[in-house]
Amino acid sequence: MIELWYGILVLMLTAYLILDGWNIGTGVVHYALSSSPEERRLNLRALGPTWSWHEVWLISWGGTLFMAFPTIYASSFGGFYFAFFLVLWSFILRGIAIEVRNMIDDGMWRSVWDAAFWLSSTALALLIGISAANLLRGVPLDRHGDFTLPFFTNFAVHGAVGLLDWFTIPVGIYTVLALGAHGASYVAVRSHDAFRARATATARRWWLAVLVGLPVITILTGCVRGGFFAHMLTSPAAWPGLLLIAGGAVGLVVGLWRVDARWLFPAGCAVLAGLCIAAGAAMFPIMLLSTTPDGPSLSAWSCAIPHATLAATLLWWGLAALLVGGYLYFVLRHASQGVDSH
Amino acid sequence: MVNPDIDFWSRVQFGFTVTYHYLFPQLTMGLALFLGFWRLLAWRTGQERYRTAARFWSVLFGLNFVVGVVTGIPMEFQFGTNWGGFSRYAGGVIGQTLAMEGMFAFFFESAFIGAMVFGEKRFSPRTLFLITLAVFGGSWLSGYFILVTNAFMQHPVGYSTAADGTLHVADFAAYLLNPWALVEYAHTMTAAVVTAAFVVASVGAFYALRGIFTEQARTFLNWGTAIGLVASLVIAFPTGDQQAKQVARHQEPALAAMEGQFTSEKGAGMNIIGQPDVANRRIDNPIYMPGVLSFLVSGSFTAEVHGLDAFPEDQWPSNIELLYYAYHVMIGLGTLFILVMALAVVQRLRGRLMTSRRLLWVLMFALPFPYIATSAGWMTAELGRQPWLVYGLFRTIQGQSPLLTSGTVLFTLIGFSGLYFVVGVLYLVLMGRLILLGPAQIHHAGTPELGGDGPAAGGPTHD
Repeated sequence: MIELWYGILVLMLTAYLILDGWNIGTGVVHYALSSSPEERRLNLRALGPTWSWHEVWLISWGGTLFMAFPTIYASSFGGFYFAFFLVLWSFILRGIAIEVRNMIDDGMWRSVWDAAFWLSSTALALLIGISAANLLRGVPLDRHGDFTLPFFTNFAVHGAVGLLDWFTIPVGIYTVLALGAHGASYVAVRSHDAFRARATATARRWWLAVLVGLPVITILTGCVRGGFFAHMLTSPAAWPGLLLIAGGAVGLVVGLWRVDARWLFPAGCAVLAGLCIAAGAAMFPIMLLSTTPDGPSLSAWSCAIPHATLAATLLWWGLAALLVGGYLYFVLRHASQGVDSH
Repeated sequence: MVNPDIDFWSRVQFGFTVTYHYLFPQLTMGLALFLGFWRLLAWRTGQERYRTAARFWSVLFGLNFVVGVVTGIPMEFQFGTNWGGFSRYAGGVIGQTLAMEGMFAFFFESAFIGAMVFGEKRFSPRTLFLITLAVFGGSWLSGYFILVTNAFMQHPVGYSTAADGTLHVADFAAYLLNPWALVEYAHTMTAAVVTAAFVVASVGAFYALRGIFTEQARTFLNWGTAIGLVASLVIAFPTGDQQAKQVARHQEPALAAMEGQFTSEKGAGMNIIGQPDVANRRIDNPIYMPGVLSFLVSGSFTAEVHGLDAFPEDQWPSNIELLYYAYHVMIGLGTLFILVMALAVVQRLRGRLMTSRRLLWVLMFALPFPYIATSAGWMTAELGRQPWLVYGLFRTIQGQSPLLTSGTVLFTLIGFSGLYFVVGVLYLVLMGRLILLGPAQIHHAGTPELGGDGPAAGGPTHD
């Protein structure tokens, strides 16, 4: 039961990362992809009217984490205090930027919100990557299972660590690259003609960088968290993730070769999903790894609510998930209709 | 471990961000009801004025909704960031409804909102009505889950205590159908309708005074005042009355503080005005109605009402003055709402509403007051709950995240203040522009500026 809820949380976060990831990525490449106000208009237009729907995945993930693992929720949200408030402020800025940019027909007004859109999206991608890297590396838990993270300490990855160090910074930058690539290929499949060609070219460059960077990040992770990859290879739950990464990487190579976003986009989704699933499975059952000797790591086994409640919750959650599937169908159909009207 | 400074700043931050946030959802929920009626009438009668009204208010709704969403995300985060002690203690219970809100309400609501705001040309009147109904259902469902969460803090039911002292759900039905939640829901949702009614009527009054969009002005004024009068009455009786009785039953010290009842007495009077003097435990310069408090609480003019002196001081609400004034501001404004709306409905029945310029001015400038009344009402509920975070079980001072420092919280509070100032200015400027643009322009040009491009539109504009 606890494995199941852990898996649900990993999958919800994966869904968030792919769906809102393309919105964030669109913002990351807002200038790399578009050189004129007209192109920036097209770039933003790719988001469609349902962009805020994707944020709901994160909110629901937070609610579900709170429900199933309240101890993890309390410890991690308090520990990542500054990082999470920066995430919140970036969310607010991004939402406002997207919504108000076209409400006043003025070049300077739009320039301001273009910049805010790019800045908040890039900050979000960076913070998501840094947070994920902090989870991989571990946090300085005390004996009560609490921690607090300064922005940085000595940039080392053991002991009294900070938010930023030689591991988390590269992973953060890598996440900006990966989500930017994802966003560019998303824009490419949703646009036409010259702009589509331009988006595809950007997606190619960024995906190439992501593929080249993958071994580097893998080696860094191996250095920081011993036994991580051995655990990944031996836990069956990680195998679908590894398959997705392998299949997605092949698809990316084909897409790069053929200069075709119809390959790049699904292949990129597969790689991102595979990375989340494989990493989530390899971390299990540790949810918060400790970098200090005085505090034990927090595992899913010790932090979940009672078994009977988790089982009962599954009843309503399953019903809700079915309904969400229905809305997903509606949203994607509705959104894809929007594209035809260019 | 327990630090009163952190407790104070975390409370200020939560209080500020939640009060600010709730300015937007109350209009969302109330307006959804209006939109549902107009879409229904547009579909059944085919009349253009309902289509126009629904289209115009949908656009305002869209902007309001987005600000509600972006200011809402910090609420869920803060349970963890600032109130880790509380999350550990009660997460096994309140995590349920917060997860339900996301899974049942948010997905539902936000899936259809784009279609509602920008689907005018794509969907038939019947489909538009169903989509609006979905948005209405989603937003009102969302409100219910949040109020169940709050009701658990006000009046905990359906839980069990584990060996480590944390709370868990023992009875889902009892938790979800908490009697406190049902009354609170009726009261809060009616308040949301009051807010929307005043906003709709205020825009109608503005157009009527300027002599523009006369047809729409009449629609807005008629609907705003009619629904406004009904909702203003319902919010006092039965929902407000039931809410007060509930507080009297389960939170006696809170009721005594709200009413400024320092000593127990038979045949207690109700203070209309007067200043609470907590040091000397009395109300200075009171004007009161004898026996009325006893009657409201128990139905008899001579029944005994417990004053604050009946309870140990560590169970008294921690800020009695603020609680007393917040409650009286809410009550006073609520009474004025009934008077204003009743007057407007009388004038309408005499066929004079569109020409009663003084009344129109009043209606136009009444706009902020429902927001003030709602905020004061929530302050009453939450200050009355003090010093408890979960009433009778868990004190607020125990709820903080253990490793926070007050400087950290003050820093993020200042950050929120700055950001929310900018958000507020943008909201007012852009809302003002849309209102000045008016229903006719939005009708003829198919939401100009909003239209042609961008994600907000994204829709079927062939430019």
